[in-house]
Amino acid sequence: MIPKYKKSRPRCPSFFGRWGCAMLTVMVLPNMTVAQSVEGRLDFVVSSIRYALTNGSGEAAACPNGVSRHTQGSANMCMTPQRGGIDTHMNVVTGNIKVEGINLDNRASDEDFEGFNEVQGVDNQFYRVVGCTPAYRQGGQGNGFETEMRTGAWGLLISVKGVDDMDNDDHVRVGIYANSDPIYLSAKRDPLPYATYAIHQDTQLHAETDGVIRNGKLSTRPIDFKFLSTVNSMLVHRVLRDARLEASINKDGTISGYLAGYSPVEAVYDENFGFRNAITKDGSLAPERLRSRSAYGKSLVLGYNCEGMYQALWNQADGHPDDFGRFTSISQQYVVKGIPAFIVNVPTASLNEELTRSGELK
Amino acid sequence: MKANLILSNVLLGKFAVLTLLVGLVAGCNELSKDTAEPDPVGGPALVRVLTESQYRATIRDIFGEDVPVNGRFNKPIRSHGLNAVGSSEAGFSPAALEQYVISALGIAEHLVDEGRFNELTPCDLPAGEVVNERCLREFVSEVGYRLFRRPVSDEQLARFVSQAQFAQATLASPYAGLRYALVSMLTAPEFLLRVERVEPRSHRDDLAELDAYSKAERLSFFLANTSPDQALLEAAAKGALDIPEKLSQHVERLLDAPTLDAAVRAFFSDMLGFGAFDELVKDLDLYPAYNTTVALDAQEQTLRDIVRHLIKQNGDYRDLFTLRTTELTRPLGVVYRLPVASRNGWELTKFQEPNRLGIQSHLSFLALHSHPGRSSPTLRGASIREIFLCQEVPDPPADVDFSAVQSAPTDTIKTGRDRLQMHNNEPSCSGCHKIMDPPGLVLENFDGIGQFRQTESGAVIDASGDLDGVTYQDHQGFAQALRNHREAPRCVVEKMYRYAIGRDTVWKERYYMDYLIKSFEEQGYRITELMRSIALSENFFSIANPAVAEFAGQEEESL
Repeated sequence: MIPKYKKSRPRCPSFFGRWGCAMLTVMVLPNMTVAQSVEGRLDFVVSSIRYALTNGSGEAAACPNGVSRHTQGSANMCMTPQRGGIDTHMNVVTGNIKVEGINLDNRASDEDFEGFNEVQGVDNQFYRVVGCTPAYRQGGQGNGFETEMRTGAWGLLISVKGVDDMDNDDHVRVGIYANSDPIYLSAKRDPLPYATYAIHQDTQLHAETDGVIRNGKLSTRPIDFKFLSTVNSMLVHRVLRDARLEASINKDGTISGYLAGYSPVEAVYDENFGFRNAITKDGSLAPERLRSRSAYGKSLVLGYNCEGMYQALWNQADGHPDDFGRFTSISQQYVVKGIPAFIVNVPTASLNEELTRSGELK
Repeated sequence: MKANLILSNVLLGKFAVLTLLVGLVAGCNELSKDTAEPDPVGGPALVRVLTESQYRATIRDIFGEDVPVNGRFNKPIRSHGLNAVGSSEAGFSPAALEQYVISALGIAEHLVDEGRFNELTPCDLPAGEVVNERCLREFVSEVGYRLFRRPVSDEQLARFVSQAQFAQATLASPYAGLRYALVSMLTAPEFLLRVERVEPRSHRDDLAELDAYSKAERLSFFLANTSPDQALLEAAAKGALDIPEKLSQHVERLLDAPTLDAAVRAFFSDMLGFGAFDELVKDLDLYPAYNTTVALDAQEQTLRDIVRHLIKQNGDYRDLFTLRTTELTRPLGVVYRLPVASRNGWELTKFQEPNRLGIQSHLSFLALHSHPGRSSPTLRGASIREIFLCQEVPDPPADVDFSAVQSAPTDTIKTGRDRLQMHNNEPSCSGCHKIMDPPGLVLENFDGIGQFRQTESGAVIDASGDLDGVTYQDHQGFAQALRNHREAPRCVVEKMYRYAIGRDTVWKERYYMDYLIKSFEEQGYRITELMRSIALSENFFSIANPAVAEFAGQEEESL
């Protein structure tokens, strides 16, 4: 339960210094020409994101039936995985292993994992599905979707407003937005703090909820949201329902923790494996050939069959039961880190928009 | 004067390695009474190298905005705190000349490719045919007039036309003649050098003055940072610049023109030493936010603030040291830690941090006067003294021991102040550091690229100090002290005049300096008023008559 909003005397922790206080107070509203201050705001750009998996130890024991693999020469079923037969090459995690993540439903059941730092009841069925696929093990390519975030193809912004005390605050307002701007990197390709980012103009990619800070840890109320990522120049929507952000506001000004929720099974299949509804920049459905071959190519490289992954996702689903008691979503968790940033809401038309409209770039 | 003209002629003829000396001047002065301008003193007629910005502006004005300048420019020589003064001491190396040739070829090629030679010639060019001599002569006369900033002489005309004809015959291309006539003119000393020519002055034997075209040139480069336009050249041809009313009209016209911004930018870019950015490096592990975009934007930020405050708002020059309003781009916002909503371009904003105010707290100053891996109170302090107060700081002794200031932090030596205290125990160092350190230590709240910080190595930075008797606790106090320092307006006046005339001022010009400073003060420290005062003064165009003045072959004592 999130306590009622309670105003307390603004305080600025010493580790942020005087400038930290200034950071807390800066906000820019749309169409402003001069920055104006509004108290109590922390903005972050997500500088690192990956699936919550394991720390690598005990991965072999997690898959007593062996690892999944792609069937050489198999038909491309990625666009129609429901038509595929039972995939005997698909294995899921059945062994006992510690997994990253948080307890989403405040219960600890048999299918839940034990987490690190003595966290019990970690809901991370997505890991159970992919944990025996080599690419999703330690050092695999399954987390490669972050790469395109670093290239500026997509991004995530987190805003915490109404912060009176960064250690303990009974009520804050948390916004999670898709980022319209490429992440700002150093010459060594490391994300730089204190850059300004505009939130995506598509309000479907905005989510705001209430939160609380306890001992420097931010927790939000559950909220539905989606954000964009890219694959082979196509955009895919990543959807989370009843999602929560649990993250520490660190002494160095960063934020780190989990962004976790339940992803509808069809959506999680599409965003990760099938790309059936992947779109282009102008919002139209991407060419079928591109979607199909990207999906099949990924299954080939990462080591699974699309139909097997699709079946496993449905089999391991643990959220949002339908009227017949069938679970329609699967718990999925991201490990996120954010660095200080400034978030603004301004028109984000491209400098080339006029040319695009006139057709010169088409 | 003869000596200078002879020198000029030699240079024009040979165009070999060139070294130009600022001559010596002797003139008569009388102490100014009331507000009248003191009698002019004058200096030698100079030969000055066209600066990069002047070269580019001239090409733009004559041939168009889109004409590329591909060559690289020599690193300018800095003298008496200004490249403008160094431009009269500069020389050309063969490598530098090669770059001018590259630029000239690029310009000519572009004009051919774009079919623009027709616009530059008064005659109709026969398509696909060799251009006749009449046409070549007209082309050289017209274009040469603008490039050389005076009419083309018969000797010059014959030279460039014969070169064009040679190219035409050798290359057998319709435009070869025009192209190589242009290349020859663009690499000619008459274009690349501002050769000042003098004529006798009617009522003073000891003084000469610039001839009409040299007046137009000095006026135009000072007030517009480009070659004289058609109107100014025509005025020079008619002798209008010798008539005070007509001269005033042209000064007002140039002060009202958009090119004034470029002139002010060029002066402050020179005064602030922005040319050194070309060689500035920073340790990317320590300062990951620094990159070439930041470096370029930082210079532009300062110049925008200066132009906005001094020209657009007609503000008090001294307020540049306390200015909080600024313009930023997103890359700059990362370093200043300020939001910049505009995704592309510049945004007007205000510094939020209380101690960030004035152009001395800009990245362009703080990063430039720091080491690659750390800030430098000494470099910054010396630069405050030299750039803004015109106070010379002696060079360090040859055997100075820098180990104390370069050592890693220890339990007791953590901040720049701590390190300098250790260093200043050396008697040979302490004298100068007493001058340099206070204005440098107050800027220690900004790291090696200008990011704000409160601590260094865990220790709180003490920014207190005093500037020539005015004490302060932090940079806000220092900024006020700098703004109110009596030498600050005097310094910009002296530098502006040196910039305008291309040489250091001499002792006998002190009355004229006092006159300018007093005028500047009475006019509310408005920079355009100062430029007007200089441009309309007799001193501006006066040249010492070397036949009368006692040139001893060495520099006269500087102010």
